[in-house]
Amino acid sequence: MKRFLTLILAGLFAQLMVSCYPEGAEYVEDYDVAMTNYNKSADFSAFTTFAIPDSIVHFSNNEDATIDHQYDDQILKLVTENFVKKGYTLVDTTQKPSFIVTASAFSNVSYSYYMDNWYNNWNWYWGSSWWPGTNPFYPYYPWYPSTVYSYRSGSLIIDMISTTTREDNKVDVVWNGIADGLLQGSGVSILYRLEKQINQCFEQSPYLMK
Amino acid sequence: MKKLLIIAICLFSMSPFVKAQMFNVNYQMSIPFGEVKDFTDKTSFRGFDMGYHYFLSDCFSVGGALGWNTFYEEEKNVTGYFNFNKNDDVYAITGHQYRYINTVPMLAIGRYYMTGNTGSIRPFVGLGLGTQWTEKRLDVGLYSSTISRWQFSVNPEIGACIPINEQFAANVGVRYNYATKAANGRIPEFQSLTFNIGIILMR
Repeated sequence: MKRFLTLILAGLFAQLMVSCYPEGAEYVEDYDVAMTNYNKSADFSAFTTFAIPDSIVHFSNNEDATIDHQYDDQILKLVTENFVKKGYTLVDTTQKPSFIVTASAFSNVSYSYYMDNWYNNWNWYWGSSWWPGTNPFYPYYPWYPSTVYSYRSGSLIIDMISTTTREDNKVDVVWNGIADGLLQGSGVSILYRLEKQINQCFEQSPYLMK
Repeated sequence: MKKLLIIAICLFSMSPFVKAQMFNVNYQMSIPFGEVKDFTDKTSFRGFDMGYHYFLSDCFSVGGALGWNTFYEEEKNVTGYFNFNKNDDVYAITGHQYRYINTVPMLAIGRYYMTGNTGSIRPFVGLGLGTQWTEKRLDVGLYSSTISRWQFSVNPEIGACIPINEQFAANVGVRYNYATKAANGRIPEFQSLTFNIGIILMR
């Protein structure tokens, strides 16, 4: 009987411990992040003018997915505004801008970057899976995307590419901002969250200034 | 070894007469200090341990304890700087950070009971030595970083055993927990003050 009581007590304790274990992220927007990275040797005040294409390149691993361009203009406008706010001037591509801004959207968890060097070689290829192991974004010791398999995730990547030709002819990405989160909810709510993260990318990059 | 076993069996068989064993379950509350506080600064209300103490004499007991403490902190909209695998670059990531420290101490404990085996309150001082397995985790957005290591652990404690009847007693105490850093400091030097409250089953 005494042993039985002890067992029950231990069981109750275990139950208590498990049930009040901290939860972590609760809502979809709790997973939203803004990530930025830049070339430490780049002189951002040397850049003056920029050009931006009029559409976003969409990548999805789902071939049947219909790509929705309805928010492209709004997003590109926001990106442009942010660069203008930083002191850069929007020009036409024919006027030899000092950098080009591209925006790419990735959806459905299957992008993989190939980065043997983030700045020199900014290629992507169709990797097998976003999930641990194959993802070069697979973070350090051991960073891994947390388990949210049942959700679709999406990223919008803004690249700032210098038009100055490099000696090795590689694309010179001097800054990039990534708005990253889950694609859950209505288009409008996703757009709202996306805009918030895009602004955050610029906000957390004080060095990016004419 | 054989001798030890025989001695142990003899002592155990004697136990109904001398009330020489205690089984102890504690609820624990833990206040982090130092580098643990820097990472997860909230007081932990999630913890427990189970212990067994064997009396060598009226005043001395030896035993062991196995516990679990969880520290947690949520930081909304903060910018952190992170490294990614295969890449030396530092990324600024802004988002909600969810930070966890789980630690499982396994200690050998020696105790001295100031008033021996008598009295309505039996205060004791003790020292626990052993190891603790510590897992540190940080989640931000869809990314997560986890590292876990064994740490060497020293735990001085004071407390009291308050007998309720022949079989049960209450236990109160406070334990200072110190553990050495591991993995070049990625698992921090561990310092916490843990309060125990629990029940003791005596035999």
